[in-house]
Amino acid sequence: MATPPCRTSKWILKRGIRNILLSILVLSPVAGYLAYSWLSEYIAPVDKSPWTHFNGIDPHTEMYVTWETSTASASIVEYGTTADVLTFTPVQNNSVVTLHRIKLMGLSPDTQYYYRTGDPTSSFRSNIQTFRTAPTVNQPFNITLFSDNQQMWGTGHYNTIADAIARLPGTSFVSVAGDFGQEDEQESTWNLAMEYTTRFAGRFPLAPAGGNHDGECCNNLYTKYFGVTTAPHKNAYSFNWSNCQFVISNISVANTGPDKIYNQENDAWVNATLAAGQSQAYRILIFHRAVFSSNGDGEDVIARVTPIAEKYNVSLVIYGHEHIYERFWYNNRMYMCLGGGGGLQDFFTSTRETLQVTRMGACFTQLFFDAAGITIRTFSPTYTILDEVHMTRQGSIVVPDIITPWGGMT
Amino acid sequence: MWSLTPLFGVLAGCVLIMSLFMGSIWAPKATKPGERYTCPLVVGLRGILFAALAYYGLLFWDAVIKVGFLGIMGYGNFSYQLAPLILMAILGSFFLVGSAFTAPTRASLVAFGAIVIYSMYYLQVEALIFMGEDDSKPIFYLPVLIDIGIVFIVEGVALLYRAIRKKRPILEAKRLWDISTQFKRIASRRMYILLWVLFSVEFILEFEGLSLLYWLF
Repeated sequence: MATPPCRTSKWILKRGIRNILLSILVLSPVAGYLAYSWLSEYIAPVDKSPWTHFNGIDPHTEMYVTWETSTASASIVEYGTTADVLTFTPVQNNSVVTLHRIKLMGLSPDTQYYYRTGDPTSSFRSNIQTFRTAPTVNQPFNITLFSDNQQMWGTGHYNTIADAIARLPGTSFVSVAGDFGQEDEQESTWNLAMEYTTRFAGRFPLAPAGGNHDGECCNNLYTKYFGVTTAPHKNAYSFNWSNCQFVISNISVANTGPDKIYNQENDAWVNATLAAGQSQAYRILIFHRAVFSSNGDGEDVIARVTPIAEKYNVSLVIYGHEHIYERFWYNNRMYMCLGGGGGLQDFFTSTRETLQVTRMGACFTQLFFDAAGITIRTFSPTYTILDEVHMTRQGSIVVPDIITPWGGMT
Repeated sequence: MWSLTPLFGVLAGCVLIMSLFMGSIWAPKATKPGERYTCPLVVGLRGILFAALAYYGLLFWDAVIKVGFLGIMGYGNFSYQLAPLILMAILGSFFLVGSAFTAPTRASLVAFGAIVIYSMYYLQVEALIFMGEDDSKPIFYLPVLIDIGIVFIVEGVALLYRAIRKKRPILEAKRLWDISTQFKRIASRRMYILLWVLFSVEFILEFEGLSLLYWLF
C-alpha cells in the first residue's frame, strides 16, 4: 500500500474548518430551535391583556380584573352586561402602577359580564372581554383544567393547549394545578406564560393553584399576578360553583421545621374548609404536588392527603407536578395528575394496580358536572378524546362507571 | 411494569444520532465500506462506543416492546407515540447490529451477552427499585459505565489469553464473520442524514406537543 502523502498544516486547517462547519450544521436544527424558544421567552411582552380571577373572593358576586403595562398608569375597568354598551359605573384606581388589579363587586350571580380596561387619563382601552359569574342554583356546568404549563427555557407546548382552550365554545373557568411559570422570580418566564394564557383568559376566569415552580409561599410572581388570600397559606382559597365546592390548596412537600408548622396550619384549613362543604353535591380538591404517579409516588403527600380525601368525601383529587396525564383509583377516591399542560413530558412511566389510565403528550381535561355525577374528558389539542369516564353520584361520593386496574393492562 | 416513555427515545436518539453523524464527519472511515481504523486508541474508543450503543439499543427496544406491544401507556393517544417508537426501533436495531453483529469476535459476543444480561437485570429489577425514590438519573449513565467495564474486562481477558498462547498478534482477534462492508452500505452517510433529519424534526415536534404521525388517527 502506498504511503499517504504528508498532510500539510494547510490541509489539516482546511479539513478542520470544513469539519467544524459541518458539525455546526448537524447541530443547527435542534440548537436553533432551542435558541429560538429561549429567545421567545425574553421577547415575550411585559404588557399583558386583562384576565379575570377570583382568588380568595366570592365568584358569585365578585371578580378581579388584572392586567399589566410596561409603563405605569392609573387603572379603569368599564363593564356591563352587554358587549355593545358597558353601562355600569366604571371602577377606577388612580394609583399609578404597572400591575393593575381592580376588584369588581356587587355582581349578579350566573350573569355574563363584558369589560374593557385602560388608563382613565387616556382614551386607550383594551378589547372587550367577558366572564360569567358563578351560579347559586344547582345547574350543569363544566370546567377546564391542566397543570404544569411551565415553559423551561421557553420550550414546551403550552401555546397549543392555550389555543385549544381559547377555541372551546364555553367553560365556566380554567383551573391550573400549579407550575404556571417556570421560575417564581424570573419575570420573563411569566411574561411568556401570560402571553399564552391571555389567549383564553379574556373569555374564561382563571382559578390557579400555586406549584413548586411558582414559589410555594408568598412574595413571588404567582402572588403578584393572582394576589394573596386570607387562608393560612396565602395562595389557598375555596369557592362554590353551582352544587360543587372547590378547594384550591398548596401541599408543600417539605414537612420538617417551619414547613411542618405551616403544613399543619394549611392542612387544618383544608380540613375545616372541606368539613364546611359537606352540603355540596361534590367536593374537588386541587393542589400541585403529586400524590400517586407512575414516576414515583409522593409518600409524604399520600400520607397527608388520602385521609383528608376519604374523611371528607372528596369527589376528585386533582394535582400535577409530574408531567404526564394519569388517573388513579385508591380507596374509593379518584386521583388525577394533569401534567400534560405544556412542560416537557416525563421520561419514565410505571404501572401499578391503582392506575386507571396513563397518557403522554399535550392534553387538557374538562369536568362536566350535573346532578347525576361528573364526566371526565381529557382532550388532545386537536380535541381527540384521550380519556373519558363518567362518575356516578352514590350518596356523598362519586364512583366511576369503569374501574380498570393496572391502567387497563392485564 | 416500568418503562421509558417514547419522549426519552426521541431526546436520547437525537443526541446519539447527532453525535454519530458528527463522528462520521471527523472519522470518515467509520462509514466507508471496506475501511477500518486499526489504531489501538481508536479501537479502545470503539469499545466504549460499542458498550454505550449496545445499552441504548437495548433500552430503546425495551421501551418499544413495553409501550408499543404491551400497552404500558395505553393506546388512547398512540399516534403521539408511534413515530418515536418507529424511530427508536430503527435506531435500536441499528445500534445492536452495528455494535455486536457486524464483525464480532468470540470475546465481543461474550461481552455483548453479558451486557444484555446486566442491562435487562438493571432495566427490569433495579429500575423498579429506584423509580419509587424519584431519582432516575442513573439510568442514563450507570449501566453504560458498567457495560464499558464488562467490555474491557472480557476483551482484556481475551487479549491476555492470546498473549499467553502467542499464536496470533494480540490485537488481532479472529472474527467469526464480517459483514461490516454490507452494514456500512446501509449505515451510510445518507442513512445518517435521513435519521438526523427525522430525529431533529421529531425532537422539535415533541417539544411543541406534536409528533410526526400525530395526524394519523
